[in-house]
Amino acid sequence: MNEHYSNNEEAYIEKLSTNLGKLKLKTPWIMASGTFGYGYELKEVTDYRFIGAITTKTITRKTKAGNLPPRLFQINKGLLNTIGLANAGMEDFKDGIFPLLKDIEPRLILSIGGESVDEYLEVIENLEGLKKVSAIELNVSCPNIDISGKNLCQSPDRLSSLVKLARGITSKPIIVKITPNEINTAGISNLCISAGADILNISNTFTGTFLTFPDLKFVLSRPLGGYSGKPVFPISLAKVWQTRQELNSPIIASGGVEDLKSAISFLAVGANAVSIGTGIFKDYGLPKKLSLGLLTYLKKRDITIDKLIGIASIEDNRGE
Amino acid sequence: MIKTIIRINFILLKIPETESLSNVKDNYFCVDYIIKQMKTYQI
Repeated sequence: MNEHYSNNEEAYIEKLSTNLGKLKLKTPWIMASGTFGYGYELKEVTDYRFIGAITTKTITRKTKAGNLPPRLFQINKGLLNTIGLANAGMEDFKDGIFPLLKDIEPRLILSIGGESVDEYLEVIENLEGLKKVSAIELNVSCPNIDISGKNLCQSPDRLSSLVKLARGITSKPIIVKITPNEINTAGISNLCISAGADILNISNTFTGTFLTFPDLKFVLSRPLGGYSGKPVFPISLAKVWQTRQELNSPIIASGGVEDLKSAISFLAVGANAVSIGTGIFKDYGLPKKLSLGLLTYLKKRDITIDKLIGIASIEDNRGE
Repeated sequence: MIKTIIRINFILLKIPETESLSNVKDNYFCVDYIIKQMKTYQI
């Protein structure tokens, strides 16, 4: 695959750099929170040179074991989960896990979660001094905390308040991970930017569920879970496009990227970077494959990555 | 070998290995992918 690049990869990778506002990434690929451990675990099998940034597991104030099993179910080529933000908690993360991340090459994005605005703020304050962290991602859209699937994105006042207060206590860029479960993604995004967020991540998993047959029991330990993987891609693509029509802010596109076409499509509708989540379970080499594939694509079309971002048009697609 | 791949994926998700092995048929890491990963990365 792409032997042309194999001997001089570093020079070619430079052509893939992209910006999320002031945050420069070596490549547009960001490893999504919740699917890439804390970030150090795959060093032996994934080529980190091709990763723009790694997002940690969502960190909460206290250690969380997450929800009860079963909490994974594969359905229609996608993954239904109710992990429930299992994580070490902020103190153990800072003392035991963060030292393992200090020397990784990609940028590090710290995902933060909580059950209250105060909890988010406490975690941000506690971890603000970690210099390797390039940005804070507020996970305000996990469907697996409240048993009814509700999250902060369904409470605009609280969401706005959280972003404003977070803005006041961190100097790092703030990313807000938006829910896909509200129709007005662009409206929620606009609210976050107005409150002081720098970057939007569109979006988290879709609320979903499934029943066993014929006994009709929920397949997970809770009625609802988060659905991810290839089947959600067209919906995610539409949400990114809709948001880009209304906002100029930097966008990370998330949802169903498992191949080059989907990754490039996200860039073409206006995303500045692309998140890889569930796709990494299928292929640990995805960041490198996407990088080499994108380089080939840019060369064939004779365009830069900056020109590719937002290039999608109705005219170009007619007749194909 | 298959258990190794499943274990890696569950390390990424931060859920216990024992949980994965009781539910292997129903999880995302189906055999085709596992075999492909094993060959590609010599795990």
